[in-house]
Amino acid sequence: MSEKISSLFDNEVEQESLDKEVSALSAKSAVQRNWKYYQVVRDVLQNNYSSSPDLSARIMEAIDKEPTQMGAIRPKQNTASALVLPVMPWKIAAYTLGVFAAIGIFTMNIPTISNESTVQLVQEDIPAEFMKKHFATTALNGNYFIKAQFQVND
Amino acid sequence: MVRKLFFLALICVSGTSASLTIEDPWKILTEAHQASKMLNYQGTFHLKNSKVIQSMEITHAIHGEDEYTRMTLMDGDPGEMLSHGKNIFVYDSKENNVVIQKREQHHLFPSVLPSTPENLKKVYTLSFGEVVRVADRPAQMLTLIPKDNFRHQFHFWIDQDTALPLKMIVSNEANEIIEQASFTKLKIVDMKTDLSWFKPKIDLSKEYVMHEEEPVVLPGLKFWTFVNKPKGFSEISSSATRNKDLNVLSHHLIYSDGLSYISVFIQPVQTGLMPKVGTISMEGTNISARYYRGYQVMAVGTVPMKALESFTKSISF
Repeated sequence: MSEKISSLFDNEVEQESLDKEVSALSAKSAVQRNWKYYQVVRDVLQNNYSSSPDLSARIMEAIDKEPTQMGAIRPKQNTASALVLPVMPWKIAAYTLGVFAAIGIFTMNIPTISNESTVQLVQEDIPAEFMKKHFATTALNGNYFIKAQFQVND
Repeated sequence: MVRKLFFLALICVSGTSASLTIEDPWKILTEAHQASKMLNYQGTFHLKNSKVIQSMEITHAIHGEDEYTRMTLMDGDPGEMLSHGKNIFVYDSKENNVVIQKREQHHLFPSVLPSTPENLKKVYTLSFGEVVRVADRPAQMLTLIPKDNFRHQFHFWIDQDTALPLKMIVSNEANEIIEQASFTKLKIVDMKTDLSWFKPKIDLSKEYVMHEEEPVVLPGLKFWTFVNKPKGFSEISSSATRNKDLNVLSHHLIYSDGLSYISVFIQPVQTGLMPKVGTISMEGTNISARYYRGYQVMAVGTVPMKALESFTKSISF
């Protein structure tokens, strides 16, 4: 299968069989990953790589995860407790709040992982500039060495 | 008669001592390094990375005491590398222009072996294989097997006549090929007086753009240390560029054991930008990223991930 991928990149496959090949390739997730990484390395070396190569796929994925809206506007507060709390007996409400408070205190004592929202996984945004600088200085492969043009910071 | 017997005895003794001398097997690597630097040769070799095969034409010559190399990409977009001693220029042809970039160093096939194998002895075991034919020349196969799991295996086929490396394969622990280079044609030539070939192929339809990096003087003291560097890797180069938005430097360090190379980048993270964390493998090239005390620490290399993580996880400042 990998040979087929490289054949596609090398333009060795006839145009009429291209759609068939792409459909076959798309069927397997591992192959999709390989496909993406071939594209990334090639695009990095040809300076065609944008920082979010699969942006459209990620947007589509985010849209898919959104709940389907059936015409009516959903309330902003959709937690069950917010709706139920006013009609609960005060003892149950107090108990519930106590449990939430305990959970809150417990959570606060765990080492914070606030970086979770402020860092990004390297596979989500492949660092092309670092790759190019690496290839331009250390590659054993002349093709990678020549094609790795890196931007100067100054 | 006595004199004849004396000479006969002397020949026998010297012959015996010569046969008892065990030659250092690592010497073949020194000879291969010297051959790639000192011989005059022209040829074509194939490069295989990420299952993609490219052809490269090479001309290498010594003129006076200087070394000249020209490498030309034969497939895909045109591109060339011309090096004269430490002056290395890359000509990369784009759609409308040709970008010229000066480079500091190169370790390109067939000049991939270090000048001395002393460091390799510490981290690799050398084994010899069969003599096989490569580019119509008999070649001695040898393998450098890593003593740990911080580097890949290197296989070389060394020309029996000249000691020039004719073929190289880099493979991982599972014996999967990561990188491959192999001569298909090779001529040892006499070009001592002719340097007419040492010029780029000019495309008059394109604009030539110089892409030059201004050197930045490194501050005297480096503020970081790596507590747990993999054995055998030492720093071979460090450079810094000034970030245009922040008055701080971005650092690029290169570590090598003589065959494997690791780039370590240490640069401040600008406000509003998200630092990257985690690891990714892309067809032989691995990346390990970490955010540490306001800095993006990133290690890149064609080595096992464990080697890269030794740098990113053990940085301290």
